[in-house]
Amino acid sequence: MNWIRPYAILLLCVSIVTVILSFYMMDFMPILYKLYRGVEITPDKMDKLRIFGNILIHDVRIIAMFSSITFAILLFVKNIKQYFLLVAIGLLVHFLFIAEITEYAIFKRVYKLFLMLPLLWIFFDYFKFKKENYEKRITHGFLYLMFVFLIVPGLYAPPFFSGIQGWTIEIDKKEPILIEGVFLVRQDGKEIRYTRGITNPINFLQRIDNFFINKHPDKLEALLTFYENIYIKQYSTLKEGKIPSQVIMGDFSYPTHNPVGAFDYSSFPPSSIKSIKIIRKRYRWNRELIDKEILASKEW
Amino acid sequence: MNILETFNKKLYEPAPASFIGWSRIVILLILLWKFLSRDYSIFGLMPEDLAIAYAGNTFDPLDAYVALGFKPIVDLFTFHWIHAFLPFPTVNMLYYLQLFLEAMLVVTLFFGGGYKKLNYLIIYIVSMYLLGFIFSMGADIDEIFIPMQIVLLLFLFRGKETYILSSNQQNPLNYSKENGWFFSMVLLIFIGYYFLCGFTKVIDISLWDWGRCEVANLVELNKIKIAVGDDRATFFMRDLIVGNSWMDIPGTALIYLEHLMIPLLFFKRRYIAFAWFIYFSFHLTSLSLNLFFTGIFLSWFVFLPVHRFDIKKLNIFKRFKRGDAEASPLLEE
Repeated sequence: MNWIRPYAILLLCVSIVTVILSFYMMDFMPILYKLYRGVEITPDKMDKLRIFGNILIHDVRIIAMFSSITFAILLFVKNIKQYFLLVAIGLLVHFLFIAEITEYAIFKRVYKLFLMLPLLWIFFDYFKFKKENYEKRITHGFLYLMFVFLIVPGLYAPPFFSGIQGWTIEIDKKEPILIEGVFLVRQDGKEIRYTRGITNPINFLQRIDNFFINKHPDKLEALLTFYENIYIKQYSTLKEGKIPSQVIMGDFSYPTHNPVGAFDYSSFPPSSIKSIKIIRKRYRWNRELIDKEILASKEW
Repeated sequence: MNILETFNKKLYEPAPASFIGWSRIVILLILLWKFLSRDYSIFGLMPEDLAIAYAGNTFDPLDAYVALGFKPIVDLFTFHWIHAFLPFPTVNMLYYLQLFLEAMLVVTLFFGGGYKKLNYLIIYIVSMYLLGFIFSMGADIDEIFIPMQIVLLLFLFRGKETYILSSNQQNPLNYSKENGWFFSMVLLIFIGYYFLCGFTKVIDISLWDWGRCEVANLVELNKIKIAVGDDRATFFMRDLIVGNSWMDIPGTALIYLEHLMIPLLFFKRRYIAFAWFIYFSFHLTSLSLNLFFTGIFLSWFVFLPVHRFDIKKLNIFKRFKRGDAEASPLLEE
């Protein structure tokens, strides 16, 4: 455990520097925006960025200050038992208080990463992979892998990942209901929803649409062409009232991850389609349409 | 006895060989069913420059959900690194690859893993490659990860298989430490999956957030969305939840607690049926939110104690052979 002291000093310094840097963070926000979105921020979005920046700064400061206290205590830890106790107390205090007053998961997970990182070495030292038989090596390797996923934030290496977040869903019934998705528009103006059932196994169309709308608007036409080609390929199935996942097994096919409603495409043959659009509609809770915005469109 | 000694003892607690055969059948059938119900050839229609919507790019990095799901990492594990050397596949190539995989699943279902269990490795690689088109987007994660991990375990398992059309197999009622290890590893796969999900509930959200999950209102919102043209399906389950907000806190807390306590299952295996029941209810309830975790839901069937059917079958056979009403009392256990 001799190495724990320099580790604690290093993280204590990093935490204190982070607190100091947080006072200048608002200056970096436009740069961070450009790095994430790939485009300069426009003046009309500055207010939003400022509000968002204030939340980020609040979170960074709280977590960095909490880290300073944790790693200051870590300086006095003398053995593994005391370290385990510190990890348990750190996680408990975090769970009861810190997680409540901070918003973004990434900062919480980074705190967990630095608090628990020494465990990776402790467990590696304990498992001593070379001295074990074949089965134990696999078991310990698996447990170690799980532990890496437990500690490293957002690690994703299929078929392993670090677990889904908690659900904190609060519904405000005064807020409008958003319906966002791909629609096919016929030559007579009639439209129909282009469902995730058509593109299955691609399930989360909205996530992909938003990715291209926000980050690669230059590729939106290619995306809509891709949807168009899938529709043409799968139309023989769709016109029979089935989705492509039902071609072989019919009604007994493996369900889609998000079960899809029934839409009748028999009167929407590819030859009758005029355009394909990504549309955002807003409704009130009484189902009254507020407005409709076309996010992307392509002639068929 | 400390916890590590107990762990090592439990790791090798003898289990019947029937478990290997049965879990093999369950997992391969899940995969076969899935691939027979999906058309991966559509990815042949996708221009390669659209294949950039990786999980690490599409999810909000501040949520840290799959923040490290970037191309180099995901491609490495889904074998999509091969596109650095080979061109992006065409519709036909993917169609025949999927057909080959389905044939492999059928062959392996009947004849087992073959030489050095290589069939499982082939199934793993081809499945991961095809599923990789979806995994790269961060989808299907919580649906099919457990079956894929078990396929990998079947490849790594060195013992003989059961319920295959070959003379080179174990008696399903053969209890051994090696079979016990396989059982323990399958259990650990389930535990690892759920516990990681449970641990994030302690890190990402606070105790007070455990009560801030308005499932009933969300279900109502989904219902209205369907009415105004969303593409979700309608389920009777939804009507059971709408208006029942009292279920939100105890329901969520129960699942979170089960996620966190699931490692105990490794030591107290008689509670597997109980854990199964809770998760069975949980995954069914998620239908009200229009989510169905078919793969993981069905994977729990590996724990069905099929060796009991084997014991009964053997007893009936013995009775028939001896003309004796009493079978061996040992086999009744």
